[in-house]
Amino acid sequence: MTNQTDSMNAHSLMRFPAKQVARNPWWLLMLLLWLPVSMLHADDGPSSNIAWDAAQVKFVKSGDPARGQKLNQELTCAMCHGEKGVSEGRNWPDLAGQNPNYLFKQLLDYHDHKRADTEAAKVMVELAGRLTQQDMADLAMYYAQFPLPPGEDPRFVDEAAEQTAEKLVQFGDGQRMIPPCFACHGTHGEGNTVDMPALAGQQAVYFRNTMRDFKSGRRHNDIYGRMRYMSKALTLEEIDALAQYYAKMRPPE
Amino acid sequence: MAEIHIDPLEKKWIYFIAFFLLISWGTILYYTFGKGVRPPSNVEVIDSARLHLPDGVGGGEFMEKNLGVHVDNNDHIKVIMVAARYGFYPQHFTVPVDTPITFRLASFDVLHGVHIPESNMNTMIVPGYVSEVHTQFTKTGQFPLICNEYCGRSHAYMYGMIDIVPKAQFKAEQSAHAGSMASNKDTQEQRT
Ligand code: HEC
Ligand code: HEC
Ligand SMILES: [Cu+2]
Repeated sequence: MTNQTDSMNAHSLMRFPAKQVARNPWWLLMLLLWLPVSMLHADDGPSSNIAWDAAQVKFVKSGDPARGQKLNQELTCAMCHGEKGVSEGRNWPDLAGQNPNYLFKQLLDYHDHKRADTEAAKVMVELAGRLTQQDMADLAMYYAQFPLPPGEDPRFVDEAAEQTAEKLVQFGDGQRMIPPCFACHGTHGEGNTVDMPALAGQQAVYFRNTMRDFKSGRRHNDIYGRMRYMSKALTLEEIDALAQYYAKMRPPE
Repeated sequence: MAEIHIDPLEKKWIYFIAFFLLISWGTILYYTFGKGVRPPSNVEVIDSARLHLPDGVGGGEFMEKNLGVHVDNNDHIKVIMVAARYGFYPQHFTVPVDTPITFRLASFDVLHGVHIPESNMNTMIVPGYVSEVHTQFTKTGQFPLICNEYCGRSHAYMYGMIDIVPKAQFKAEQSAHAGSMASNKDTQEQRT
């Protein structure tokens, strides 16, 4: 937990709005008022504020994809994540065909500063901070309606390594207490009940980055550390192999 | 009163079934009184969807930061643990041998069970309830925690790990960790 606190403080310092303060001293007062609030984020509260009871599931499902489409354009999400959730760059996750509950949870986590301790998360924390829960549900239902992304072979590892990935996906590794990935992420990487994300066709570079963030603990919004435990037990080579394996995975027609 | 006629074959089956009934009752009695295997001793209703939240169960008893081994001032040991598809959290923890231990277990999702070989630890973890178990381990060593209620596709891969160590070793490790053993992060560091 101490690590987290340090990195949070580092963030606050890096963001110090020196220019604004020089122009208008009132900023300093605001900053002083804001600092204790920013500290609150670094508490050791729950990994996520989501609670998947029936009402919450229903709420996400009631999201309006048409409004989501508008928001995707207006809020510039499309610039990075694409018109239809297939992203424009390798560092940006594909959202097409993703489990809507998962998308909703991530937006909520960014909003609540529960997924805020990585460099990559900054832009999302900024954007999601302005979303209402209705916006989140609308956006989630918009991306979820598309087919899973096409994905591409990142050529991270050779064929032999890819086979070790397949073994992990199908059987896990009992010795290291790694359950098989398919059990939670679906037989074809299509995601699973409640909020288990789809992985099939995901950007391999993003996949690798986020697994490394789980491994280092800087991404810690997985409730009870289910992904943190597992990615800690995996080697960096295995993570690369898994990223490649899932990027090439196609759900059945 | 006239004798009831019972066909010899029927009689054989009655004896056969009575024999198996006696064996199964005997087994149950043996384990309840001989080995101390009991159902959970209390009923506490909880909301499993809010298990991880501060306003969830018992003022956040099952929040991530509270999971693990707690030792109070009277050296009483309490283990707070969550079962979630597909694992036990914390995944790996250490307790002393020959010491009374209270386990408080809750499920985050569906029905699970927990069984620790070579011990009387064996209980169902029903969503919506806390399972409280009092036990005392008699053998040192490393043992798996095994889920023994079918809980989904990866049920067969649902494991945890417990180290049962001599009392002195537990005390020493505890003071070295200065009470931080409960946190998820520390438990992970112990593994690597
Ligand atoms: C500047 C590029 C950029 C813009 C604009 C942007 N995102 Fe993102 N988005 C990212 C990056 C980078 C990540 C991964 C961050 C991380 O690792 O935490 C991400 C992650 C996400 C995730 C989590 C995906 C996952 O698989 O975990 C969701 C959902 C999301 N963005 C939705 C949105 C929405 C909705 C908008 C518009 C309000 C938006 N993004 C705007 C770059 C962007
Ligand atoms: C016990 C269930 C479980 C298993 C097994 C599991 N995962 Fe996950 N995984 C999750 C959950 C839950 C999340 C979502 C965490 C969150 O809410 O932020 C997740 C998220 C992820 C993400 C991030 C997705 C995104 O879009 O950001 C990746 C990548 C991932 N898992 C890869 C794997 C791999 C590879 C394996 C096998 C080694 C695996 N998972 C096994 C439960 C599991
Ligand atoms: Cu189970």
